[in-house]
Amino acid sequence: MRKHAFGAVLSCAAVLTASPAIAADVTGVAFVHGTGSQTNAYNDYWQPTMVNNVRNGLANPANYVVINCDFNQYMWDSRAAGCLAGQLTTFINAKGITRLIVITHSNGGNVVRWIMSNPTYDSRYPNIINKIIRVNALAPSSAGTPLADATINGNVFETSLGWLLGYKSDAVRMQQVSWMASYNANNLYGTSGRPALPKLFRSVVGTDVDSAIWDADSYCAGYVENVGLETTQNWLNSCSDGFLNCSSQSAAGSVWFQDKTRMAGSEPLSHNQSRRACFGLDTILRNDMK
Amino acid sequence: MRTSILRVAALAASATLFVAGIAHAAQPLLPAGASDQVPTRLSVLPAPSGAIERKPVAFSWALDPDAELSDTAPFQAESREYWMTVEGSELARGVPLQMTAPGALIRVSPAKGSLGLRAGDFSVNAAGRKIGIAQAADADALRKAGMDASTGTQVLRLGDGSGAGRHVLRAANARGRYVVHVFEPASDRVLFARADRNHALAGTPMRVSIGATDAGRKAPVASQALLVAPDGSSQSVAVHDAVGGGQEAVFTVPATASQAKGLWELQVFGDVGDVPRDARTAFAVAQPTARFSGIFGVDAANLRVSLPVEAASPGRYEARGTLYATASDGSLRPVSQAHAAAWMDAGDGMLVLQFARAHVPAGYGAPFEVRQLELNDQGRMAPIESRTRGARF
Repeated sequence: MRKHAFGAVLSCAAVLTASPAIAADVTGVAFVHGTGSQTNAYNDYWQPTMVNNVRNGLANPANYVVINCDFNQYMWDSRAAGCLAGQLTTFINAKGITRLIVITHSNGGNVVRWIMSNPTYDSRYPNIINKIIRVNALAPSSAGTPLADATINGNVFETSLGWLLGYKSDAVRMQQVSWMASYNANNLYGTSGRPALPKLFRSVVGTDVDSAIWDADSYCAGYVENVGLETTQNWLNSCSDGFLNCSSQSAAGSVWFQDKTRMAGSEPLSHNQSRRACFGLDTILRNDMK
Repeated sequence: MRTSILRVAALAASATLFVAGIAHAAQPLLPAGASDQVPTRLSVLPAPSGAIERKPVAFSWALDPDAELSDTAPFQAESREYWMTVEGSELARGVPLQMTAPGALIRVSPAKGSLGLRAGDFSVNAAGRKIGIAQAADADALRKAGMDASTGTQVLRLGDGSGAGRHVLRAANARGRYVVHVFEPASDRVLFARADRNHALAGTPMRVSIGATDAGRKAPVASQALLVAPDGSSQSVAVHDAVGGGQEAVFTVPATASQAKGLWELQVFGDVGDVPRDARTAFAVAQPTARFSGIFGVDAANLRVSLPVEAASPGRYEARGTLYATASDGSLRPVSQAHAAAWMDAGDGMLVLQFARAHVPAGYGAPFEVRQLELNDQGRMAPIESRTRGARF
């Protein structure tokens, strides 16, 4: 009986190097948001300019999907990775996608990395992994952030005082630095010394925050948001995007580029700007839709 | 020793039947190393709840043989911060805060029903002098930056005049209760905590090393610790001075460990000289719901490794391992990664790691080793068994 069951195993062998596109290939792009529960990430998280400029680099610009899931949960949760797997599978099947480029922001990189590191967790994962040709991870929180530790705000003495802080999401809990270290050591691949992920995972690293009131660049993606990032940057190293240390953004896979090396005017990308059409980021991503 | 030999012999005998389906003789797994995690008892638990995959799934991919793999060292927590809970009346009178460096961040978060405070409500003094506030942000600004601060939170960054010594934080209009968080990013006074492993089995001992430095040199520390389960329950843990300096907490993870998902933490509350420091370090704890039976079958021509599993609890179990092949210089290099998972009822089961021949580069071949051999309980999110060297063929 067991032998028969294993005869039906969903088995896949992935090849590390993605093959170049051929005429029959159908390339698509998926936009995967970060922490939070999204119902309209197209307007609320990415905004239309970013999504539309990027997808216009596809041979068929209609082959795109903007993911809306509940990433307040642990990455493996059915409402997080399970939801993502469902929406990606529907997209792949509906559009006949054979080559999938995934663009993630922040914690979205962890959810995709969960899928790529745990292909047997869900029978939908292998087909998704096989279709992915690369993940462009914008400011991924691969090693967590001290701000998650700070958000938990205290030890068991403080957090047990339910009156104080209210419920903190599992996603915030998960992105504490020591928690991500444990998940990277036990559950996720792609960090130093661990086996490589089955497909390319490359990050865009934000290295600084500009919030000078006289500098128009500070207003891309919202001046007020960047002012807040200037404050949160105090919890971080000298190289950070206001929410994540550069070391966290660079911890998994490979670094595609650091912001100042490619952005117009050598501008840095704050954590809010790395999901928006700021300083030519959308153009770089559009040119990558091959 | 005698028990081990008898156990392997018995397992090998039963394995002849068990792996008959793949028609290859069973061999014992390589002896477990000192850092390996191998269950010596099994836990009987009900089936895990939630949406858990029931179909068997296998997957493998090629690895770059030139990419070095290594064990991930346990995380070392570093702290330049501490927390305290104060009454509004204390804050109105003035709360003393010990500092070691300029530019500290002070965050004040009100309890539900307590009065939220604004930056202008606060004053900070040191040695009778008023300390400047270089930067302030409220909960709204922090949330816009992605930091989910609680309602009424206010952050102040100290500016001119701040530095080492006793400061007094005061808000004359404070009403209720508050958490005060002091973070000194520029401080040389650092508390460290590091667990000896990244994961443990319920009912087994763990050790967390605790130390401190002041300006890069070892400093004396006096600390207490709490072991906190994922469900928030906690118990105090004894901390002792360690041979060679520093301190250590040695404890046994409860055998009836919480089933809540998430990690365990050892929370350390230390005094480094005259300044408090709090640190947290996290690790995974698993109930030993299953284990490898101690043998494997192999179809070397097809790089197919069959692993009998002894499951005490129903669940979805996953085996994973890294195939090392011998290079022309005789060294073993990683070439392929394979995973296999299936739902099992309590009893005997089997997981088969199917490595792909295509993943073995030209010039590489036998002998092979399966390293980083792991058994995971996917429904309970727990690493049950891990062997640095699992099988050789």
